[in-house]
Amino acid sequence: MTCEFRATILVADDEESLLSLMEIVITREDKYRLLLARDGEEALAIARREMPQLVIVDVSMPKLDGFEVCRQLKQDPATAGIKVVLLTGFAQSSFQEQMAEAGADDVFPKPFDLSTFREKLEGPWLGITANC
Amino acid sequence: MFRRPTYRRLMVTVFPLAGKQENDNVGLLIRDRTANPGNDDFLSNLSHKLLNPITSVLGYSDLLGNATLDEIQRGWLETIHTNGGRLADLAEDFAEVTALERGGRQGPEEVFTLGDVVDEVLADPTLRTTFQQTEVGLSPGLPMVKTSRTSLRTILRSLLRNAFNYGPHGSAVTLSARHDKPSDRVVVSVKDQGHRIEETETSLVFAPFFQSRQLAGSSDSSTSLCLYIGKSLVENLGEEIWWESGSDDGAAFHFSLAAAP
Repeated sequence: MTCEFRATILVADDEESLLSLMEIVITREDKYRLLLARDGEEALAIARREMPQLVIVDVSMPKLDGFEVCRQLKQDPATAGIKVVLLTGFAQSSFQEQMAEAGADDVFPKPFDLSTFREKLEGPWLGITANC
Repeated sequence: MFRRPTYRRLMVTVFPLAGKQENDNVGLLIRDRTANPGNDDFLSNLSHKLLNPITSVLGYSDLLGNATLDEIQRGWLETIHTNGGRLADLAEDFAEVTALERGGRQGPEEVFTLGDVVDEVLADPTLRTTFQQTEVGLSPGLPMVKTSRTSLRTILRSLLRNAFNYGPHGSAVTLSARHDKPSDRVVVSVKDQGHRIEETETSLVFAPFFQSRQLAGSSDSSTSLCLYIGKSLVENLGEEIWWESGSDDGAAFHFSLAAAP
């Protein structure tokens, strides 16, 4: 039986071990098609080309930070509909205003536990189930 | 047979590294610090940088929890996970204290409903505890408050983290608020069912790294900056914070906020 991917997710982070961790968690059940980027410019280029349903982007990244990636995606009518989640080590609540200004759909602070990440992924971020 | 672990000596470069991105290595942070000794962003950035490896430690130990392990190995894994969480707490505390010493990031004074900020704080996944129940009881007809939303979030988070640290598994942490009409203040309280604080410790409760004598010698050696952070922020708002601990177990921490006119 072939599996039809119901959603494409782009994860952008310059921390290789975190990208690997996300890859394990997200692709474990073959529910999603996963794309990876290691800096902000790459994330923006992939997002524009592949039009994922969800972009999970680290705030602190080389070339373009997560805020700027989010701003540019949200300002372009072609990509404004893509959900953007900012992944950040800046867990302090004082950064929430800045994240709202960038137009992010949600913020997910590091460190996180994997069950909460899965709950978010399958709930508010995508809210869909796989067709396979 | 166990192999003795090898440790890599950390070499910190104090000059820019060719081909490396800005904000992408400790060397550049050190360089910035050297060039601008007054730039406390260094400490703040460093504590945030710590969160990446900590996230990996917690995430991969979480994944290993699904593997087949014997009882001893599972105990080791639990130790790794617990200490990863403690490191995350310390990194957060460190960032907050650095911000405080820099003059704080108080944010503008606003008029808002206390319940909205309580909901925001409790919805934060990093505050989740699997060991205690959080009970919220805000008095009906509570007036709106006039204060810094940013500071209030951090105060509530700090007091709740303190309560989660010291409350026993299965206990309740209560967050409540009432209107004190004579002073026209909203008094917010966070109560745990942890160890009692002794009268002799009165002057130490809000000191950095305070640990109650009740915990001395116990397996719970955690210390925290949470109360110090909470007290500093409350006082920066020009308000008061105090505590009480009766003959029963547990302690309650109260702080005041200005009611909106």
